[in-house]
This record gives sequence, structure tokens and C-alpha cells, in this order.
Amino acid sequence: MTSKPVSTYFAVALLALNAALIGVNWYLHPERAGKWAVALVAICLALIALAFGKRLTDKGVRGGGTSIANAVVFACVMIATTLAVKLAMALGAPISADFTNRETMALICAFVAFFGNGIPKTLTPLSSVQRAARLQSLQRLAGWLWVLDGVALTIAWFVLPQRVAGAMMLVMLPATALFVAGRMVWVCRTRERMA
Amino acid sequence: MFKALSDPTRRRVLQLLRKRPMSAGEISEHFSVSKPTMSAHFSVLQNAGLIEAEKTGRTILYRLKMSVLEDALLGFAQTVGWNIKAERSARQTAPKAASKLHPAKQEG
Repeated sequence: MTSKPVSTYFAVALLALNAALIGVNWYLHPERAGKWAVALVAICLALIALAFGKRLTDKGVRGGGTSIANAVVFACVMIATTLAVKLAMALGAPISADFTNRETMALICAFVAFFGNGIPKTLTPLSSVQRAARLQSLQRLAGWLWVLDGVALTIAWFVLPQRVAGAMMLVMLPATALFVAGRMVWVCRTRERMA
Repeated sequence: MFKALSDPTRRRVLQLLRKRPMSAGEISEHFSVSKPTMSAHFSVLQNAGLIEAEKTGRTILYRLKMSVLEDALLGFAQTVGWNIKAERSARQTAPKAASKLHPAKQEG
């Protein structure tokens, strides 16, 4: 798993899947038409964002289209899994409300791991070798911490009681964010002292 | 990527670049291979997206560009002494060696 650019076509396919799932859910539960309509509007907005991202890429703006496509794919996967679970429940599958909550939180944690995986691959312009070495070290550390957090929490949301998994998430994610931010400040202050 | 990580020399290059960005010359000092061979290794690593080259003046500086998963695979490959090329040639020579030892069986 690398952080290669996500194809716009893959994002469009996911949007189409989401639209289909909304359509089927709307047919099965017409009394919730308002919610399904809002979901469809969100799909249309995501499509517009994708088109805008593609224009940025065509104009040569580095990374713009990729970031938008990645965000749309992330949102689509979240929505698609929720809609699929709702559809399964409507069709009589023995799925508890507990499972839908666990699945949503586990997906969020899995995406934390996914984006953490790509942090060391984002290179900044090279100003000096010493600075690049410190930044590289910081990016590797941040990437590893987010991946380990994400994987541990994803497993926790499926295996542990929800209260415990929720508490773990509330402790681990902010602690990691604070630690990485602290290291970043330390790297910047070290650079200033050496300058 | 697996091809890039399968060679011990390329893995050593990645380990050196873990410490800091280095020029081609600095990296080559750690190996007793020719410059064209080292260039070929750099090329494989670049094509796999594991390193990036930046030209600074007359020097080419190489920087590590590995995701966490690729980093973990590098550690795993280094631990088990992963060498896909050597394993493939061993597998290819093993049947030939067996046929030389037991030509009667092969004919039967």
C-alpha cells in the first residue's frame, strides 16, 4: 500500500455506487426521502469537487487533484459502507446497531493508518541536507506512530467493548498529535539555533 | 518494489539514506561496485518510487521516499535475507543438478 494518486475514475465509480445504494435505500424506505435527498446532493457536490480537481491537474497544479480525489474516495467508502449496512438491515440481515457504530469508527481509524502510511513519502523542497535529514526523521516517526495507532484502534473497535475502544481512541490520537507537534517544534527550534 | 528490495546492495543503499540524504558519490563509497552498476541500482530504486533524485549544482542528491509499509518490508527483507534472484536461480539449477545425478530415473 503506497500513496500513489487515486484515479479520478475510481472516485467516480465509487460515487456511482453510492448513488445506486441511495436509490435502493430510498425505494425500500421512502419515508426517509429527505435524508436520501440530502445524501444525493452530497454526491453531486463531491462530483463537482472531483471535476474541479481534474481541472487543477490539467492546469498542472501539483497534487491538487490527487488530494481532492483521495478525500472523495475516503468519504465515498465511509458512506458506501454505511449505506450497504443499512440496506442489509432493511433486507433482513441480522446486523445490530452496535455493529454499524463499530464499523464506522474502525473505518475512520483505518484511514488514519492509510494516511499515516503516506506521510514519509511527501517530500519538501531541499534547502539543506541537515534540515532534510531532521525532517525525514520526523516524517518517518510521525508516519509510524499514526499507522500503529490506526491499526491498533481498528482492531480495538472490532474486538474490545465500545467504551474501551472509545477511551483508547480519545487517549491515543490526541497524544500522538501532541507528541508529533512537539517534535516538529523541537526540529524547527533546533534549526533556528543552528542558523 | 519487490524487485527493488530483493537486492542486498539496494537494501543497503536505502539503509544509508535512512540516516540522511546523500550524493551518489557518498553512497558509492560504501560499495565496491562500478559506477554504472550503482547507477543501475539507483535507477531501479527510483523507478520503484523508493528514492528521489535532486540536482543541486553539479551534484545529484538522493533522498529516501518510502512509505511506512515499504519501510516495514525493507526491515523484513533485511531480517530474512531476502534475495528473490538467488532463490529463482537456485530453483532453476536444482532440477538440472538432480537430472545429472540420476540420469537413469529421468530416462525411465
